[in-house]
Amino acid sequence: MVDKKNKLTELEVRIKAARSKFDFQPKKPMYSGNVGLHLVGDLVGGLAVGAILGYNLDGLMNTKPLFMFILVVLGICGGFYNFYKYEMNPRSRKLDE
Amino acid sequence: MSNPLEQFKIINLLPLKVDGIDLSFTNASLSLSLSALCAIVYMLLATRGQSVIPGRLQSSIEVMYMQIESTLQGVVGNNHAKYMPFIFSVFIFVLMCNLLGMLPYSFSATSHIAVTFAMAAIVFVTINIIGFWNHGVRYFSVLLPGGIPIAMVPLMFLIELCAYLSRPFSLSLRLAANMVAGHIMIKILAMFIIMSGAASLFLSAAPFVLLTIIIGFEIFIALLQAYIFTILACVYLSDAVNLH
Repeated sequence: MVDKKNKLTELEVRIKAARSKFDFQPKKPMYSGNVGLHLVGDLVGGLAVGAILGYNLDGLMNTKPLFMFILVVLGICGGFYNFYKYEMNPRSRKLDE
Repeated sequence: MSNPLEQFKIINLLPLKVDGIDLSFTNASLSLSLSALCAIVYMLLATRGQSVIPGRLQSSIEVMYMQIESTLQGVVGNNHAKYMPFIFSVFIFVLMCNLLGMLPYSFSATSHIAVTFAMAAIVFVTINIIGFWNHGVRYFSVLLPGGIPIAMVPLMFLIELCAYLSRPFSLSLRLAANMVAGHIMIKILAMFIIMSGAASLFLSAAPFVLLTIIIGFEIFIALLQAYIFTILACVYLSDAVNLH
């Protein structure tokens, strides 16, 4: 009887050990290491939009460097702003933490 | 030594010109078609049995589906269910493109900005349609953040407009840049093996080990980039669904 009980407790311990091996541990989201690359994408994207819009507007209105200059600056601001909004959004921020 | 950028060369497989427009079937088209086919076959095979205790294939798709669904619900909110097919299709297609590019002698379609920008543009246009469908003309207020002084409105409107328009650009640039960087790195490390192997076989072991690790890491990056593309699509979708 005692032997059987011992065997059962032994089995229980083994089951527990095996279970802990496969237990689901909530990991840190994969995204957190990539904030820098995210910022680069946003900045270059903003710059590209500003440059393309400015270049075409200048071509349309014959005001060569004016709109290109203004819109590149605005585009960089927009890129930063996109990144800021992403980081400040409580829902998307939850994914980062 | 061969050029590390040669792997991104577009090769014309089936020349076709309709009314002056080049509609040739290239290796990029082949890779994209194969990715779509792989995604369809994988989904069909994985959901064929539908047992209560899932097998390996079924659990792989269940894990991905649940991860994307929880992300979408966390970002968009509780009425996320009707956007799930769209978001999950985007995820599985980008994932298949990335993973197919990891096979030797294959072509990685997502390393071309033309491909990623087309995907990002589809996401951007769809999200705009959803926004106007849900809110009508009021959707334009996405360009005006709440609680700013009147004097700042024109400047903020322009910055918001630039930020809004730059979304598809940054979305596509991020994916393509990551893929290009990874593939070039693999190619250069592979060249190191050959160069050091010419000197001594023993010396080539170090880049070989490094390359093996990097290839594993690149497979992880392929998954991660598909996930990031999806997260950002969700974040942009949340603006269109929950107007501030």
